[in-house]
Amino acid sequence: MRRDEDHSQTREPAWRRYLRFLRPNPAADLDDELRDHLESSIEDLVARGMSREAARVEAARRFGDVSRVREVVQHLDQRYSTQRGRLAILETVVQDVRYAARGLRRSPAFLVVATISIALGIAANATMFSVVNALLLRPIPGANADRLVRVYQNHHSPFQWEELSWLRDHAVSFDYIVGERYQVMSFRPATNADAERARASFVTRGFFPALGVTMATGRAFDSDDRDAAAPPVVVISYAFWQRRFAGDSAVLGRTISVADHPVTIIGVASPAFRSSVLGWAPELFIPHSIMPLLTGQPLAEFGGSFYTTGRLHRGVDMGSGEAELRGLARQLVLTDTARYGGMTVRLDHIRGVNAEERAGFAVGSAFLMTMVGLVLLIGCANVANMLLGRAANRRREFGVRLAIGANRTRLVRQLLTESLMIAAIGGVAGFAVARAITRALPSILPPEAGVDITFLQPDFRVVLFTSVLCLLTTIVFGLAPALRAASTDVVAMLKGSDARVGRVRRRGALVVGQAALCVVLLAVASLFLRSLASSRTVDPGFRADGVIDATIDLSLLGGRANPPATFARIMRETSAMPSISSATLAAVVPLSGSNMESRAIPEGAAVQSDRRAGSMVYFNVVAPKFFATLQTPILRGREFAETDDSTSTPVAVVNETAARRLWPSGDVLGKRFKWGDGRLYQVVGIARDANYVMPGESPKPTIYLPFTQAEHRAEMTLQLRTTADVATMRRTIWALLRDATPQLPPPAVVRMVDDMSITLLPVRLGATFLGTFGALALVLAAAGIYGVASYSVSRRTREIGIRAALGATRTRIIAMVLWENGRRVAAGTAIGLAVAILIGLGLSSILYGVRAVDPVALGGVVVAIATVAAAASFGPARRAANADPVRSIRSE
Amino acid sequence: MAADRDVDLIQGTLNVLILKTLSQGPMNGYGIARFVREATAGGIEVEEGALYPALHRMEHREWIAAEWGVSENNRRAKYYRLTPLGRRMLRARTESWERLVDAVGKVLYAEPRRA
Repeated sequence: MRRDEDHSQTREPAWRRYLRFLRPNPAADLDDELRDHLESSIEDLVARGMSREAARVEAARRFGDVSRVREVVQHLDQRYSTQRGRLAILETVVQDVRYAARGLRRSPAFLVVATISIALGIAANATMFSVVNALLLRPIPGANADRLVRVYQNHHSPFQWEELSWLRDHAVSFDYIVGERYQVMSFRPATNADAERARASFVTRGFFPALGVTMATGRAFDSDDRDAAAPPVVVISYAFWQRRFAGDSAVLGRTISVADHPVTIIGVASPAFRSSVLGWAPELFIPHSIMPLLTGQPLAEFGGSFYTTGRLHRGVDMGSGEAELRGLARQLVLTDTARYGGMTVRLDHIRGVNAEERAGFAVGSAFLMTMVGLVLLIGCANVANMLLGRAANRRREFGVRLAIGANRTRLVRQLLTESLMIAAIGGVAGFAVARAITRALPSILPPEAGVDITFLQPDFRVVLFTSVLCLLTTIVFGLAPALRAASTDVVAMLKGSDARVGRVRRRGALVVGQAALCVVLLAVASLFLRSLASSRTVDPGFRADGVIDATIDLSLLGGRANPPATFARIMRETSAMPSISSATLAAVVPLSGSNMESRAIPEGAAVQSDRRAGSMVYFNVVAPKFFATLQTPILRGREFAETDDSTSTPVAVVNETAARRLWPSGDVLGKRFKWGDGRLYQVVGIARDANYVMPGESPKPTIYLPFTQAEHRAEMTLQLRTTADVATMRRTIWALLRDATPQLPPPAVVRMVDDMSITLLPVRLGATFLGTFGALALVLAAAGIYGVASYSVSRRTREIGIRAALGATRTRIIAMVLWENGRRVAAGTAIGLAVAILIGLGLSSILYGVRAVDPVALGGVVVAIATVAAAASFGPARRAANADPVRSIRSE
Repeated sequence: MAADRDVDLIQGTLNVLILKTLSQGPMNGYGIARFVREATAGGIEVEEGALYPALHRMEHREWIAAEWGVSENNRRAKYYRLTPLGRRMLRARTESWERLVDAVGKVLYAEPRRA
């Protein structure tokens, strides 16, 4: 109070006295200066005997035009002062940076720990954002994105050939409408070479020009290549050219073999281009007009498999483009209601993955971004913590600077500059790590996966994101400590005494926050781990142990294969082998990541439109002994037999759920349903429910059809129950296939349990990522807890000394220090657990076999954080207990 | 162009005169004008007002520095003085001026040579 009064007394007059000094007024100064000149001149002349009047006139004559001089000088002053103002700002910035750099150089340990804390968080965030950016935000790489749109039918399905060609031929709002259909084919670099698998895309007319893709060498297709009678030609991808032909320019004009047909290479696509669909990386681009030749199927039979892209005509917006296509779709429906009924068209921006996958990715990304955000927050808390401690040690320095007139804003700015430098160094390091990780990721995936993730690499958006993140980070960890440092009382600072406890409490709050964030991360990670573990013990409704899978894809041979005969032969030969107790074929291996869905309409049900009636069911196409091989019990009736062939009555096996769904009452055996191929299938058996899409899922209605009767499939998996190991079976199967289909590349032969591991990929990825984040969080939190424990011990040296002098034992002192931090960690843990349980409830759709309140998972987390907290506090506690009481009491 | 160069020359000359004047000690604008007039005995006729742009420019360039004081008649007066930089500039300009005078003199008083 008294000090305030003193202040106001001394400040007011000073303010007035230095008014000009503080806020110079150049115009008034100039007037004063010129007046002085003229008056001096007049006085001089008067002293020499002139009359005052004459002197005034003579002085004015000698001076010249006063107003002109004033104008010129004012202009001059102004120009120099703005120049100086700019320089001054630059100078202060440079000064602040120098000051911050000096301060950081003086405490290298702080600098290293702080920047690492930030760098880890930024690295995790930048990596995740690179993925989000690539999957959700960025247009497809290598193409000219201007006016490019994705065309879907209904929600987000690709088109059939007729639909695509109808729209393309009639639409006027579009410069191009093109389709791409992806398929793996058998490929041989020369007619006598061994067969390999090659990823191919069948592309419709105008594909490359529509996407703005140029050729690295050679030419794109022209209209002559579209003639089905023209010699078949192919454009290859740049990567394939490098990998398979070592970038040899003589490759143009070379004839290779695709699906056992000779085709000629005419061009190599530009290096940046992959496909019109994100994630596809075709090696061969083939005109759709030779699809029938290579695949042996007419275009009409390919179904809805053309992913369609359009380039809008200049000046046409998406809304009117969509309206036109909708109108065209309605016209098409009128031509054949049964076939096209219910078809609508939707346009969508080309950004990241296709619309059908986007929702899933968006949710997953949001979740993981939140988690990495938590890691960064923990890092920020660490740095804020250290900055508070640093500010405490530099109190005297700040006090001196404030006392000699440094202003507080300047001080805050300097401290923020220091924080910004930490964030910037951390940001650059973090970005470098993220870039390295995204670069390394594609090499982790096996090349056979055929999935291209080279597009994950960060672009300007990621740089921008990281920069903004650094700024935010600076504010989060730097602003509060800076404001605090500058707002403290000068006198107290200089004396070096500080009676307030707020500082300790604030840092304690940071520990609570860190513990909470850390527990959230660890708990969610352990839920994933537990789910992963329990998925191994869940009963899927079949036995995968002892089953070996060989996926045989006759579509690689296109029209040259005769799937029904070939598969029948393979079945016959494998069944006869003594080491194989049971052999079957399945179009889809359950729990292997793919599935098939279609509509079944019970016979006699009221039908208005085929697109609405009946029920959507999962289905699989299998050979006899499927249920025997997988050991799924048939509850009633029978499973398929050799006698169910193309000439006999179509039959089906349904699972319990499908039976209930399609026929809620009455005996299901002998009932018939209408299938998508237009035929009526009769139910001959009811199988026990088994998992199909996800382990531990709620039962899905599933229908099984015999491969001899259902629409034939070129790709099926041979499933063998055997006691032999994989290596032996691989040799056996390869030998068998070489005899049956010599042009076929050798198939992958794996254990069924390995095939199934793909369904666990999201959970495994989740467990890996979150486990890593959790571990990071734990390390960062340990550093934070240690810091606060050390600080609080150093502040309580005297108190602890007194306690020791009064007879407190070492154990008591250690316990006291441990408890001080333990309390905060416990509070944080409680908050963290509550949040983790909420998140766990939200994740219940991906996490199976584990509940949100999983005692093992959550208990483990509590033990982990408690152990780490105790370990981190123990060092400082022991130091406190070992200190010499006499010296401690004398300190300060 | 030519006119500009004349201005430069005049301005440069004026600068040297001011610097030389201030080398005697601090002075206000009128003091400088009177000194120049008396020293050249009216040989150089400059409008006194022309001093001020030169003074302010040199002040911004930190060849001279200014301080506010009070004149004998109790007016606010601005006193200019030479800075170390200004002193160096004066020395450099004096030397180049002497070289120029010397060179021009040699040309003007040269003996006509026979071819």
